[in-house]
Amino acid sequence: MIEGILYEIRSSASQKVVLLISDDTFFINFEDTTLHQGDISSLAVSSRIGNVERKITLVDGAVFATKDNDAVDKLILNTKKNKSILHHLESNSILIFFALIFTIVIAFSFFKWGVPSLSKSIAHAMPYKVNELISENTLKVLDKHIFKPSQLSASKKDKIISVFKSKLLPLIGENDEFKYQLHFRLWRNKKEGIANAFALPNGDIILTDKFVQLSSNLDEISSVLLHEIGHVEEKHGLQRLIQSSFITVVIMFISGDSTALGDMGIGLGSLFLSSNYSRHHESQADLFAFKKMLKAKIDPISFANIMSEITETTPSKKTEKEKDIVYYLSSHPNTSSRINMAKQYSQCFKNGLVVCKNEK
Amino acid sequence: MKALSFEGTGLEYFKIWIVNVLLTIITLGLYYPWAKVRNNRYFYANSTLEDKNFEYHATGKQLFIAYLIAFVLFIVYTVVGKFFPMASIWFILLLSILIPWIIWRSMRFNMRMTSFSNVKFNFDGKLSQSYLIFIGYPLLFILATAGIIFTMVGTGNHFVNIIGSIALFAIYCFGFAYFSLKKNSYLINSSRYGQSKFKSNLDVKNFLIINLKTLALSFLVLLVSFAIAIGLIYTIAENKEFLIQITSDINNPEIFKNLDYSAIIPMFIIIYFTILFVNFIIMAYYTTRTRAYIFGNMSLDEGIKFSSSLKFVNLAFIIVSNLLIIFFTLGLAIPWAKVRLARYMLENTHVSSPENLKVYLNEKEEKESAVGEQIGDVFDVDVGLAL
Repeated sequence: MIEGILYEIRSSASQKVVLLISDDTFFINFEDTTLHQGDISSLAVSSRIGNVERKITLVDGAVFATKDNDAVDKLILNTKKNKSILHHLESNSILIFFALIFTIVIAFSFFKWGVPSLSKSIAHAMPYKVNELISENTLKVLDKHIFKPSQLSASKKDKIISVFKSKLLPLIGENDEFKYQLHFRLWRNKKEGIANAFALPNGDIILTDKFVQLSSNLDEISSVLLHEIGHVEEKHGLQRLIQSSFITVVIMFISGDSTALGDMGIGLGSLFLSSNYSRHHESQADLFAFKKMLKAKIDPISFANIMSEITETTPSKKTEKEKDIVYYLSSHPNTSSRINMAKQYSQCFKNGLVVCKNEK
Repeated sequence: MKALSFEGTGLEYFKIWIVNVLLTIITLGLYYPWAKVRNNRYFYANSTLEDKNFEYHATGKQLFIAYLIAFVLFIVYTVVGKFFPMASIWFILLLSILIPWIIWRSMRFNMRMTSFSNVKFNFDGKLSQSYLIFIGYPLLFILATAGIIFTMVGTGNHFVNIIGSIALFAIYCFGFAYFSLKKNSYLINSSRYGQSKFKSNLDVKNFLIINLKTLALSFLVLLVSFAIAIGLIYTIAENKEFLIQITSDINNPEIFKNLDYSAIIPMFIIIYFTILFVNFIIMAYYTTRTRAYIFGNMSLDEGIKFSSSLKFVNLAFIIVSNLLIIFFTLGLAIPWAKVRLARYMLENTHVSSPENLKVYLNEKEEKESAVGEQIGDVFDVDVGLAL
């Protein structure tokens, strides 16, 4: 016997009734009169969620509602062999615990490994044209608003360009899809020049005057150029865009419909994630540069030298703990570990090796 | 007057939520419509008035195609936005032309998929009305604002500037109040329960008063919380010299070289949370006041009245503490937070003579497509009737 209420067809009028089962037939009784009866298989039972009221719809449209979920499961659904898998999942504490662990593990691995490797495959599958499209106007915009024409002497620029063309470009093979080009620009913030070198996804590499001035020889410039070529070859620019698209879409799913909180999650989450991915890309580009340098017979120590040169002009006095906080938000790996890696490769170079084995 | 109540619990909902999240993840998002239905069914069915509950009738299958369309649109939008930020402006323009339609479809769909005590709600508002309210009035508002600003910039006269600023302020306050009036009247007066209509009796004056009070409170809260935030930053920063340096010398790039970044990060976090808190507190005040005003001035069938007894301070406390709990549990407390908010909202919603609700009948049913509703859901188009 199941106690509940009966709604007449399409009406909010209701009365307290009981539902009785005998063999395959159900009876809905009000006091001693039977209001409805029929075959159990004709009943449409709503699926169980938590302990909310169940609605059982009769063939003619009348609705029997009850909170006695266990009785409904036992008396009606057992005979219909129609158990709710979802409710089974939701009511089993061990399963819930595993679902929780599983979700955390999947979410973690997805962000840790899934997003980077998916982005990588997608970036490499995309036609070359995309790289051009996304870098098309970048240099123009930078020239208009930020950069000034370079003040370096023509001979200095020519030297760098000739090393770039004769020594570095041959390292990456002939049938390369990128059209590499060097650009020299002056980037100033008030009086002080800014030392920087970066690449656009289509192969445009920009060197600032201050950077060229800070370097003490052509090998140092070559090492940084190879690092930038590494970014271009691995399509890091494209990967970064794909990664951030992933983060936006996935966080929308997890946060569901809580809008303000979702936005907060997207803001903080993508900051941490994108700097994590970016650090990974930097290390990759470093390795790319080191390997090519061994081939080109350039001592990888040049990279260490220019790195420490740049950091020395921006001194900092931080404790270890302070560095940790900054590390998780920073887009580049910390300089000392990059320098150490360069030193390892330099060791290989001094031993006359072309391939270095102590790769992490 | 009888209050509604919420009978669900955080733990029970947590189990439903985690299974939803898990299945959505392992199906790469395809399960989302079913997750949404389960989620809504739980919240609707646990919302009760005098032992009668609400019910959500949409099925996952019904939402699925619409969801796929919306989801593809969302991915295109995200990708275009990341790759070609300029092109996404066109996308946003296109979307804003669709917004009145999305709101109209969402209202229709959601109302028709909702029942209370076996009788369904309905929405029979006109699409043209929706366009007038959600595009016509905002466009007028933008034109008026632009006109005044151009006149001010054009003449550059001191006197014109003062008059212009006053006019801008007036247009801002009045325009927003008028928009709230039209929006809420449209949404309420087009809604039905069974064979009966909802009616509202709202006027612009009361919305104007609410807006002005909210504005005054915003200034006060902003002032106080930023004073507190600056105080906090000042006590936390070990090296106080650098703060003085920053404030006195913000334009000099030299100082950024020697900056102690570990002191800057807590500073950003404090400012970030301060802005969030201010935002939520003001939102809580505005919601409390408009809800009380709207509920107090609407009725069903003339006879059945409503009221809202939310308290601004309580609502603000719940929202802000929910935010903190979610933040510190990395999202795992979302179910508890949602249940807590739903319970508070419902327990402060009252209905007069619910016994009269027994005599309602369903109207004819039509097939419903969920496309507009799903686009609205995925893109977070807020329909804005707060229950």
